[in-house]
Amino acid sequence: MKKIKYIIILIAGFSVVACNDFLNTSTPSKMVGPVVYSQVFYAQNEVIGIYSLVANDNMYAKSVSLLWSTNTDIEFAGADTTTITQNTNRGSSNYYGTSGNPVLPWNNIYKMIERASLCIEGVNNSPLMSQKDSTTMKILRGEALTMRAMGYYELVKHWGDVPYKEEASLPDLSNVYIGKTNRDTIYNHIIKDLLIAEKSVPWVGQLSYTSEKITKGFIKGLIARICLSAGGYSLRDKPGYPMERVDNWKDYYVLANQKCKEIIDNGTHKLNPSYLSVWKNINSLTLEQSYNENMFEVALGLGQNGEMGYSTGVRFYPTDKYGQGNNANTVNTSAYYFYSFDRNDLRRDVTVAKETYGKTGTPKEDFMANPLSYNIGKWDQRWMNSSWLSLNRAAKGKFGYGINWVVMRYSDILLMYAETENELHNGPTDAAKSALKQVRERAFAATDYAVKVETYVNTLGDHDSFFDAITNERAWEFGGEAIRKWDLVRWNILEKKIQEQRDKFAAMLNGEAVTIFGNTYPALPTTIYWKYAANNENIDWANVNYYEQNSDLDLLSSTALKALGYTKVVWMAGLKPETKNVYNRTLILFSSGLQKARNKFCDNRYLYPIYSTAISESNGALTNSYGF
Amino acid sequence: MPIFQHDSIFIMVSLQYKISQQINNYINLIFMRKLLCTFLLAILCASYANAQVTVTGVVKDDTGDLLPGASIVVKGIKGGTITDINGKFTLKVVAPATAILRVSYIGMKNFEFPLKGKTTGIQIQLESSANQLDEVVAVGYGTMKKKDLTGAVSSISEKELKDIPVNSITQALEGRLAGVNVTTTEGSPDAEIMIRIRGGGSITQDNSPLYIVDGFAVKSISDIAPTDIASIDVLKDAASTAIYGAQGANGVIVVTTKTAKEGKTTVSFNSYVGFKKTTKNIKVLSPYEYVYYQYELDQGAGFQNYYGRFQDLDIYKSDPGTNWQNEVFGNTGVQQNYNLSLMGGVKDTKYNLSLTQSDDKYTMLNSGFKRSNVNFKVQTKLNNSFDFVFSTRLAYSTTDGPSVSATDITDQSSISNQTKLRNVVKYTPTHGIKPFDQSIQDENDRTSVEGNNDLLNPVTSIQNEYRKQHKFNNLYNAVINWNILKGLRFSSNMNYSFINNNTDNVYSNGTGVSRLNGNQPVYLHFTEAGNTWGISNTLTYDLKLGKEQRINAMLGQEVTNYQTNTSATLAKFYPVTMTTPEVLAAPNIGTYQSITGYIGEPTRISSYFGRINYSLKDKYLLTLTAREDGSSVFAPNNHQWGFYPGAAAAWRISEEPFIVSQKDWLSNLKLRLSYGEVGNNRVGSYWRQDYSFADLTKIKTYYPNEATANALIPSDKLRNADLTWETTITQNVGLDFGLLDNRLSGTVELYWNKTRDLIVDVKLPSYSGYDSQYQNIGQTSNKGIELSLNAYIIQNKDFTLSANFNIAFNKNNIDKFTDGVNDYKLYGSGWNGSAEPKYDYLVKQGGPVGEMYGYVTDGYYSFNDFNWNATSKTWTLKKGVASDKDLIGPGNTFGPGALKLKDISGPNGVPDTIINDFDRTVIGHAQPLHTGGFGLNSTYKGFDVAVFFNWSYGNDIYNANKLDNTADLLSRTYQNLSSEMSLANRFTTIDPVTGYNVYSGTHGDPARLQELNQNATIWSPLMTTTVFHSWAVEDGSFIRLSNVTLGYTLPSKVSKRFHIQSFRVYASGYNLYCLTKYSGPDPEVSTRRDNPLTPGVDFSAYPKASSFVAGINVTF
Repeated sequence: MKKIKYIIILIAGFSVVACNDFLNTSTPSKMVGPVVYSQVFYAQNEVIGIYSLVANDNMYAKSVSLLWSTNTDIEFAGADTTTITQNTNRGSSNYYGTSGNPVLPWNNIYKMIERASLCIEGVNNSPLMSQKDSTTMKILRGEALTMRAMGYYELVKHWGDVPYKEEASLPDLSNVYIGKTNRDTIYNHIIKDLLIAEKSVPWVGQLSYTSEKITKGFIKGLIARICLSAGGYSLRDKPGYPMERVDNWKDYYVLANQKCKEIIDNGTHKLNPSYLSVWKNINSLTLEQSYNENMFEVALGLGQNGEMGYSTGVRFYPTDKYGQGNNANTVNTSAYYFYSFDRNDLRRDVTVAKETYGKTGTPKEDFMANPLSYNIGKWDQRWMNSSWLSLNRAAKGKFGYGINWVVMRYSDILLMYAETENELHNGPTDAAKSALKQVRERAFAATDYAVKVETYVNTLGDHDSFFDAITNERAWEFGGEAIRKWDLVRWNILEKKIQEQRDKFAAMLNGEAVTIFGNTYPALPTTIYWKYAANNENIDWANVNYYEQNSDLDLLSSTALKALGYTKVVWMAGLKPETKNVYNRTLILFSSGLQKARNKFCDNRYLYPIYSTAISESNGALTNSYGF
Repeated sequence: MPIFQHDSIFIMVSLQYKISQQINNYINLIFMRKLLCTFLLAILCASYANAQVTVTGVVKDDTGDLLPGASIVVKGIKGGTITDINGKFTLKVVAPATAILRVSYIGMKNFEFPLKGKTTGIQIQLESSANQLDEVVAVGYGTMKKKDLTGAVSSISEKELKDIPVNSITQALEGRLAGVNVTTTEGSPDAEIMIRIRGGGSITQDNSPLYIVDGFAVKSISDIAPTDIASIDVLKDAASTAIYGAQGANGVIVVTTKTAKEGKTTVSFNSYVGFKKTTKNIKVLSPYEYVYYQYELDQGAGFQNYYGRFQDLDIYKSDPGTNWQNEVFGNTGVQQNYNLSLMGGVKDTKYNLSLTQSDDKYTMLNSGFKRSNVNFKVQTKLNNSFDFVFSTRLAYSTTDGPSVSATDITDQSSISNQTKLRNVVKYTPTHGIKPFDQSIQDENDRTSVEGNNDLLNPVTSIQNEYRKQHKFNNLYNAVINWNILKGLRFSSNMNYSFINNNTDNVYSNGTGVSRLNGNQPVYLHFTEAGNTWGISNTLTYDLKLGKEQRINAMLGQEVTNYQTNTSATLAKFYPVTMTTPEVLAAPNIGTYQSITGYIGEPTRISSYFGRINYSLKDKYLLTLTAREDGSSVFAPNNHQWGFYPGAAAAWRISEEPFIVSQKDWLSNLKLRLSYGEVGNNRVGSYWRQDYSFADLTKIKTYYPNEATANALIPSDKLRNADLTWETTITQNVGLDFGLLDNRLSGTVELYWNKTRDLIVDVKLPSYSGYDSQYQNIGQTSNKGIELSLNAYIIQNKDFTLSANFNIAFNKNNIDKFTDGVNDYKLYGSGWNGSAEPKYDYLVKQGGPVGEMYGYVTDGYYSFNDFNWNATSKTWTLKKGVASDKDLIGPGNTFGPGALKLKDISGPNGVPDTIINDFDRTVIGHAQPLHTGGFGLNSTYKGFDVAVFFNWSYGNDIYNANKLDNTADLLSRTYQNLSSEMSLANRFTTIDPVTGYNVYSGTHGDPARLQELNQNATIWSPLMTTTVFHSWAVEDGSFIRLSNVTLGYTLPSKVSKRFHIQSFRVYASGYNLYCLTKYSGPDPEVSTRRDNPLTPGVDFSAYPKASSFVAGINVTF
């Protein structure tokens, strides 16, 4: 019986071992919230996790920056009668969104918001908050608050009223199956969050924060941008789906004005004297740190992510010199935008690419004869750096470009400041004019300053003319930067401007006199002549007669033209009637989903339907509005 | 009743003589023999006097081999002897005239030999016990005689395994056990073999059974050499499995490896070689028809550029093209297997050692599998009260070749369904006049024809994707048994195993991954190291109360721990020219992208359990079990522990006096009843919100200053501290019967399993910020009947014939299910990536799992459905005819010939002439009505033959290949179609005389179109969306001749001359013939297995092969 006693003791022994924490397991590879937020290093990495979703395809690597940023009067994703209603980027860009369009899910934006909320709660409850590390922790919280606000801002811009909550999801799901919150409420919440965030986050250059991180200047700028949207028009979810703005819209303008002024007064951010350099730097993956014009760049990685340069930018075909080609059809532009610029505006040739490259397989530019098939020139393979080049030359398929997405530039601050001054004082103040001049000075050569900057701005005497000037200036300054659409929406002139583009393009094709954005053309040439420059790679752009008929060359025979190296292209009024018809029909088709006549529900239907899966997973808490 | 007793003895004696008799004479003979024997015995008894004489002889087994260790006693007298190593025995007998020798040996029938005065040269041949009731069956933490079983257990013995030369034991189980459904899901080297016992209860969790090998749970049994296995027992009802508590919910497969027999040292050598061939491919269009189809898609310059003018297309009739399926899967796979085993021992110590080497080349290019196994077991008796068993199993395997059904593992490409298998069907069979430039990809428009192909050359993409998986698995097991008192035994079982796996991948130039990285090679290295340990202690007490009551009680405790650590290394940007060996030799040439490591969280279970077996008069049997399990995956509160009771009772009716009289025909009858509960915790630990560092080989992060920043990210699943055990309740009624001395035996089982608190990964709304959350919701049930029969039809010395048969009916039902306000939810198999069909399976309360959900095919639109507009030269749909235009995306070819779907309903519940979501319905069921198998085994002298069939009846297959291969999917041109869409069958838009598109537009000519298509049997492939419709649902019933084996064993007289105990040669064929109406390559298929809710999809499965092997078994 002694033996039995041993056995019982043995089993009992095992049982005690087994009970004591045996089932409480963990792994250092997985951390729980309290661990993450009790060490600065971990908390910093958690915040990178939020940034990684800001850099996600759903946000600035693709959707927000490209797929959802068209169509306007100066940017569009083209389509034909078949593709315009398809569940692709072409359908949704032309405002024929359907809830089954795979371009439209918002999942990763909400995932980013959730990560930010976890971080905000984690920092608030962190033991470090009462220690010396609290400054760092508060900066991290500020970054998280800002990214959450950015997430909600993008959601509200694209869907109007959306589900909103300030806290992280609870495991009992009590705050998960929620319905929509009014956008005005959301705006107020995120502005309040940003006002907290800006207090703790450093300026660019401080504490080794670069513009690839969220910094004080950007937060202030974001407040201004959100305020202008909050105080601007939007499509309302009420009977008839009107475009309306809040009654106290001026309050938002006051705050926007104040934040812009704080940035300007601080002086950390300045304009890069060269508009071209801004883009060359971005394309060569160089972070510009002396002017810090780019207030926040989403840091994308070479070979990793980012559609800039691939889906938007000058179109390249495969050549030995630059390697793999790209497909630049996601964001297009047209000769209308080209002609909207002052012919001396240095921004024109940076922004509008009238060429493709290497179409014949030889490394040279090709002249684009189709006035509706221009690209945005701000992204250009030729500016990319050598490590990218060597990879792209070896590539046989799409290779990640890694060009950072610039969320906000300092010129935006200047123009928002000018705009709010004008609105708040019912006419341009000196400060407003000075801000506008700064932007224009950079856009012109010094020899043009007197006329194009001083005279131009000084003659803008009243509110309306200054407002129009702002409308135009923002078009010239920000083409292809996912800004125009939201400007036109908040000003409630999206449909109007798109129609203006259709009408004026038709007039150009008819050979009539047109004025685009204040630039008047009595008659555009009917034929254009172009030739290669001496290097036989670039087109001699300076001598292409975009603006006037070249009567000398008109007289020459085709053999003589050839001998001089010229190629003759029919242009605008010179085009065949059937071609003109095609162009006109195309432009009428583009963006036509905005119109009530087409969508059967309301005008200005720029908002997207909520993706069908999100509706079905909401257990009835969400429904689509605006007739979707 | 002395006379009666005598009678029964003589019946038994007489039975020994029966072996040469035909069964139809059987009953008559019994009586004749009985009379004769009684008479003879009476005479013999009288004529001999008492005297001690030495008797000598040999004992042999049923194959004629000498049998050492057999026990011989003289009946009625104490003492005896055992045979020596040569099977010889010497025994003193008092009265040789009347003495009866009683010979016994485990696994053999007891044999009584009346000496009748004979004293030398006695030859006794024992018969193996056809009577399975004496077999010992493994039950949880112990064994039981089959006759004492109360639960539902199916078994397959060493003897049955011996005749089936297979590479994995799961293969050997296929179709042989009632209620055990084994599906080889694909034909690939790494194909998962899916085992489901009684349907599986969980609807979203892993339904694999629990595998127990020599007492311990293991992850997989596929790495055990089949030749090392002694028996496999499958525990099916909860009364049997409740003792395993956790994880027993889906049944338990208990594998026992061979143990040496005392005294008899044997060396055996088994080997086979074989080859295999792919059985059936998908037929595709010939090069000419392919080019013709491309012309139908595009009559413009793009087409001409590649294939020339329409008038010249006839040249492609003589183009043999490339059969990519043959190129990739046309290899003859060669298998080789060698096994050497050594068994033996002296009185107190026994050992066996087995070495196995197998080498399998597969039918796919560059793919193969090699494995080495070492299995060693030693058992020793330390003293009278202690014995000790130690065993170890080592397995090392390498698998060559890329995964073909999966996409690239680094999957950073946008097209998730771009599998290599799909390539082989769709890749262009001819390249025409100009090679393709695949350099431009455009997801949205058709501006570049090259990009629309969107496929990779199947051969180069396989050749250039190097993948080698090394797996090393070590397992050590030690058992100490302590016989404390008579009947009281303590057993402690310790087990430790570790795995060390690593995989090298090199994606060189020509693969999709390399294409995304500047055509430069990409190197990816994975390691996985893990260990499992467990300790179980049991105390067993056997008690006899009087003559009639037996009690066996067991009390135990067990802890197990499982942990795996992984790491991954990714390097890119090797020079384009670097070959795979060069990359492997110098991985540091590339640029390291990331090194990730992950220390796994241990998964632990702690358990206490007990069992009482009570037997009254050997007739009334009762088993009670209980188990308490704690699992580390649940939150440490009252959700962590689960209590699982079980009870079973059996009544051996055949032992009742009123049946005993029927013993001559009814040899066994047993009724069993059981009830039990078991738990399932197969889910990760999700009760805390975890953060882990992003795996940078898979996830993109943030790249400030072009450097990859590490990100600590929360899991995509929302925590749930309330998650607890999923519980399965099993009720089982079984009837075992044996007729005619168990020559015909069988089992009928009825069961009803209910699984409640299902652990379901519930999708959360996207705006929650999470993908999903594990919750306990719903209830499913499986009801079924199983029948298995074994018949020893003829048992002669020279000729035996036996047959076995099993059939199982299972009905699955979702008893409770909610998804928010609905009692149903649609799930997607996802075979087509994010494209249609997105949702093709229905899970609905009251229905079974595996309901295929889609549209009903209604042929194609006729010319009567449309009006021809002679002005615009287009077709317009007549009023009242339902339109599916928006659904199938036919572009400009919406008119006669377009696929037509039935208008079933609309938003108001009535047909609304628009085909949309409302018109979907259940169009197929993946669950079979019944499955089973039957086989015949026969021996004639040295020859043996075994034939085995298995079947499945009443299940549907979702032939996604058919949808995928018959449409202009996503407007991708330059892809081939399957031959269903041949010109002879399909509706065409091109006039073959003129080459004009007479469908609509400029050359539109309705009369000519109608004339061209009067015999068309299938719609036009010109549709861009593949919706799921009933045409793609096919009857998956099949009956397969899965195995034929023919063997010959050399007579031992002959083999002895070569000092060989036995020598057998055999030839075997597998998957020889499959009778089915299914049009795809093989009806036994299920390729979308990530989600158990979408069974029965056939999409790009690795083709199955038939194989033929020839082998030898030699025992020295």
